[in-house]
Amino acid sequence: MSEPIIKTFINAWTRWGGTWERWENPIAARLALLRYLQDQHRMEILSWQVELLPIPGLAAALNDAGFKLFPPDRRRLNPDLAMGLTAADAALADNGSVILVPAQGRSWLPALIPIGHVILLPVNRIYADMAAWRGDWRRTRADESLRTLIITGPSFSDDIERHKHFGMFGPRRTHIILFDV
Amino acid sequence: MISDQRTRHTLHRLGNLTTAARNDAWSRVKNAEALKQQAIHARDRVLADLPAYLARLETATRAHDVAVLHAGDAQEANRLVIQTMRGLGVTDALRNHHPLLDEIQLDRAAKANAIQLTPLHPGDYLAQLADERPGHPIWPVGHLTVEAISATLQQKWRIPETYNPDHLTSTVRMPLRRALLRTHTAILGVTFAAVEEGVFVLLDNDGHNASLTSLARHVILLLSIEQIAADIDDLDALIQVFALSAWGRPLPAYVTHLQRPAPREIDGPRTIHLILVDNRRTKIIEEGFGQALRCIQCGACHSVCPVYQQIGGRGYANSPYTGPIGAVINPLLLRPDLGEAQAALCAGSGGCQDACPVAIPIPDLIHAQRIRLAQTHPPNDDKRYFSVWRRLISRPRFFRSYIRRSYRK
Repeated sequence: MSEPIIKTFINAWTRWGGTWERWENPIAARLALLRYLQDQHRMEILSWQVELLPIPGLAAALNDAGFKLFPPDRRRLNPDLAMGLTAADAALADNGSVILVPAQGRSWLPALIPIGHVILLPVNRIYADMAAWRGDWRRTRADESLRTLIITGPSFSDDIERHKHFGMFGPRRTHIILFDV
Repeated sequence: MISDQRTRHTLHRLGNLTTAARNDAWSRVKNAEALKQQAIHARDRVLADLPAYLARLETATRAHDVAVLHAGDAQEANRLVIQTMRGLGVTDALRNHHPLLDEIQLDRAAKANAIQLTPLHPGDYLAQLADERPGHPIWPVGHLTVEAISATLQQKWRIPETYNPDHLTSTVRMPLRRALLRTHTAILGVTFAAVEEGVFVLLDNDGHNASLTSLARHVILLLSIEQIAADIDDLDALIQVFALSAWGRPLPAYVTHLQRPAPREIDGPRTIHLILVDNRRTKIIEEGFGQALRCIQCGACHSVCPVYQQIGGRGYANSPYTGPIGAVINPLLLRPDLGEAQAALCAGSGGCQDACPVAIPIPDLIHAQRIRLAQTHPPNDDKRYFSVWRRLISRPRFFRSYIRRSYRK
């Protein structure tokens, strides 16, 4: 992935109110995630199935640090969980967006229900724009469902005199941990 | 005209902020003109052969296990929604914010059938609390001041006096979030659909559509038959054009694509019903006003219209379609007798045509409406005037005395 595309993504992502950090490998990203969650004082996390997150050894690391992961299930959803953890299928550099495609163990709910959302993103999943991502999708995943969620910044409502209130239904904070692979 | 100066100021501010954001966002787009042309082409392509595209959409969606229903008019659309809900055994649902749901007056039909329907969009919810109709396609209570919203919440919910928009939004958020977490069935107006892939898209910044499609077991989609794109590439162009013109950003915070039920997933709807709503749209195309149906309901024309900035959404015959495009669409879509009053809601500034991202010739369409009205129904004032004039000139003595008296005044 070319550096200009990564920089374009970071610029666009921050423009819409997202925060970010970038690390040289998945191990450093794992440490960064633990530090971020500790800083936020969130020990209970609504998360994708941990084996589906793109960082090796994450389950043990989180467990050792005392974090408890909850699988998203709408029948037993705890609305008090304040932090969601997911990866992203792709990111779009030009708009600063991340794309979530649901599958077994990869629900949208961690990205929608808690007030904070952390996204783990290997830089090789950043595409220049929507057309580039669609092209790749057609080549490799044409048979899959097109149920996708494109997230561009935190949730907000500006219904009252256009004053922005963050965290309306979705997260108030969206933090992305980028890492090289 | 709105007599309250503060409300007029709010409308002006809404218009100015929206216009500035839109202009800024479009100025950052590489090949903005090419993108607009793609969107225009995408709209005209389907409008030129709507029945064929709808048939293909139906085939694609049925292949994805989506139940497809057709509604010729508003009454039928409401009947199908209620029938579907009864079939699912539910008596309450959450709905999103979409002008089609207002157009068919779904809330009223639901109430008449003892179905509790709650709007999840905060603006829509506030409009309902304040007994107001949504006045803008994007900001339903854009015309209400923070004082008016505060007064409504103080009166209805006895909240302490506050004029802080954050506090007021948080106050509204609480019951809506509770309702969202309990949701079982969602009724959603669809922003666009892609025919080739059978995909539906919902756009918002607060996340209510994404949350509803995740949490609800059953989803009932309502789609205006003209809001379709031939394929996903055209759909992407329309989404971008909509977001740039409505919110002044290349994409809204949430773009939710829905294609098929997800019976085995831990989230996502188990069933999806699609209701395709015509409600005179085919007739509009036959009558030669098809260009009006290019409208993607982004509200760009509202923010530049001098008439809308004076009267807000109240002058548009209680229709969800307000602003310049409302003046064109309302007589065609809702009641032909609205024509005279609606055509009068144009000062001829032409700003709407420049602001429209899909180049709808709104002033020309209003002019065409006026010509059509003049041909079919001469305005009442003219009729009255000519009747008095005919009586005057047919009685010479009376006429002369009338003229003399007029000069004396």
